[in-house]
Amino acid sequence: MKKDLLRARGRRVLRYVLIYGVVAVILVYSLFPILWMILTSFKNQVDALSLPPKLLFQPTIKNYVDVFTSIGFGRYYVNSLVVVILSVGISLLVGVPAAYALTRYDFRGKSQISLWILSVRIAPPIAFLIPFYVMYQRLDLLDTRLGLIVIYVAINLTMVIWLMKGFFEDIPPDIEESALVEGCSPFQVFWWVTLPVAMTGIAATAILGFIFTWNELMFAIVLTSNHAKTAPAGIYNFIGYNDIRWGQLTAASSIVVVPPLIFIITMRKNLLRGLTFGAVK
Amino acid sequence: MDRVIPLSRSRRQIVFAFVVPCVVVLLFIVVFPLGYNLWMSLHNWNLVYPKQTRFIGLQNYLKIVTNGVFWYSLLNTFYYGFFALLIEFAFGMLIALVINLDFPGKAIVQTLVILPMVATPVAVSYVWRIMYNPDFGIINWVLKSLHLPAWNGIFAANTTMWSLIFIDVWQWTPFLTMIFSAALLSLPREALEAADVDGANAVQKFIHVTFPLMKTVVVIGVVLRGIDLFKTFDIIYSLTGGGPGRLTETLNIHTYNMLFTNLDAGRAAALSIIAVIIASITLLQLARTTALGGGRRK
Repeated sequence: MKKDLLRARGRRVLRYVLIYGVVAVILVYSLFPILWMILTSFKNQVDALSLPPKLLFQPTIKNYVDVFTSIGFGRYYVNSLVVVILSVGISLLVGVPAAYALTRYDFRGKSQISLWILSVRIAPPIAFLIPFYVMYQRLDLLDTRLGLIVIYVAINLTMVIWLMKGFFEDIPPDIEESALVEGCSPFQVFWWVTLPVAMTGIAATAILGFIFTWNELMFAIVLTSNHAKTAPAGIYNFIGYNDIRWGQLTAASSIVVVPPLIFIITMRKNLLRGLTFGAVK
Repeated sequence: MDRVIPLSRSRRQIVFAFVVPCVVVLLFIVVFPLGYNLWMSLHNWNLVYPKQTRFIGLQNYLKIVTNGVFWYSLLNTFYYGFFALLIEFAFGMLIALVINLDFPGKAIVQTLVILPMVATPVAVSYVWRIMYNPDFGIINWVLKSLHLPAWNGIFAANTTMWSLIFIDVWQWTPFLTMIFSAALLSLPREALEAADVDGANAVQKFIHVTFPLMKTVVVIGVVLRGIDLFKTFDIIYSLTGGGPGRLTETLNIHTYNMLFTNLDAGRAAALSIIAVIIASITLLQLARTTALGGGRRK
């Protein structure tokens, strides 16, 4: 008996050793580039280029100071925040009620709306970039926050409708019906009954919208050049033709990468559905 | 569809109030631009002289399909997409299988492995550029210490395409890992236990029980990833811009270069319309052959 028990325990230990070994390899692979970026951002230029790579070095925050003082990166960062938050806000305002109507009611033109939404998901963004660029050229909207907000609303709104439809479908209509029977108007039902229940979904959708537009590059580099430039597009400033300021480049990158990472680390479970575009509930 | 509430008069008003703003916005920022793009594609339209545009019918399209560069970029797109998808599929499945085993700390691991996919692609691209550097990059330093041949990444013509694919694999495998993990979680326990009773080993169990049960979700994941691979822009643009020469010029990058290097907005518009058509046809085809079309209805 005892021998068997010991053997079973031995097998379990071996199993854990194996699992943790493989998990360790997976984690190193997944996290190394991010950690390397953050590590390099605290090195001076000499340490950043030294071989063998220095793991122990005198850390410096000079790169971060440089990033925020010398090249206007602070302004780009503020631009990013303004553009992303406003576009997500507008998209929620317009998209959440629409998604609700699309889920709960039947009306003419419903399938067309779904088709438009799908087309944004399928079409390469460049199919939108070309007409927007030409239109903005004429309307004098190039390099303005407004111009960028409009295009980001296009991206976010379709995502909001797509995801919120899924969340609304999960809410049983029974409670809404009983509220209707008790004499609430359809709008009151939506506002007082459905919205509070859907709050988690709305929050998750908002954060996903934040992440995706925060990371957006193509529209940002084409439609802005200086005034309205966003942080991801601003990373390019640290690349000269033949001279790359590694410390500053990685410092700027780290500052850009951190907000999305924090969101995922703190609320992965709630974001799962959005990250998989509705493939996972 | 059983959850739809029948429409009464007061409800019609609320539908109107809820849907119309959204439709107006979508018309202005989705439908109109796409239509305008189609319109542009039928014109000789130079970006610098937008006032001298001229209607030329389908000539832009004709120029495109008779030009080898377009076909080459299409080939690059599918090369990049096919191999990235293949490796992402394999890695995604392996990682999903491992991180869903029972072990303490599982939740943290499941969170950490998806971090790459939300890291800003430009930033990621530059970190890889630093790591690929032949002189002071860490990858070559490790290879050299192990007495392995050097890998020059994006800095040598023959390895450029694959260095871009590796970055894509690193960043986007988590997407499939997540989807496969969810599929694994939803497997019926009885089926797996039955396989255990029959004495199947782990590999047999995976091939004959687990994988067939996951199939629908797997297909959805692969299709979604495939669509996005077709649209890949950030990584290639940041690191090579399609070069050296045209070695890594995918359809997307080719279109971008047509617009901002050749300044030929008409032809760029036509290229992007072709991309839309290819993407739609592929998706429709896949939707028909799989359950994706009815995926949301149950």
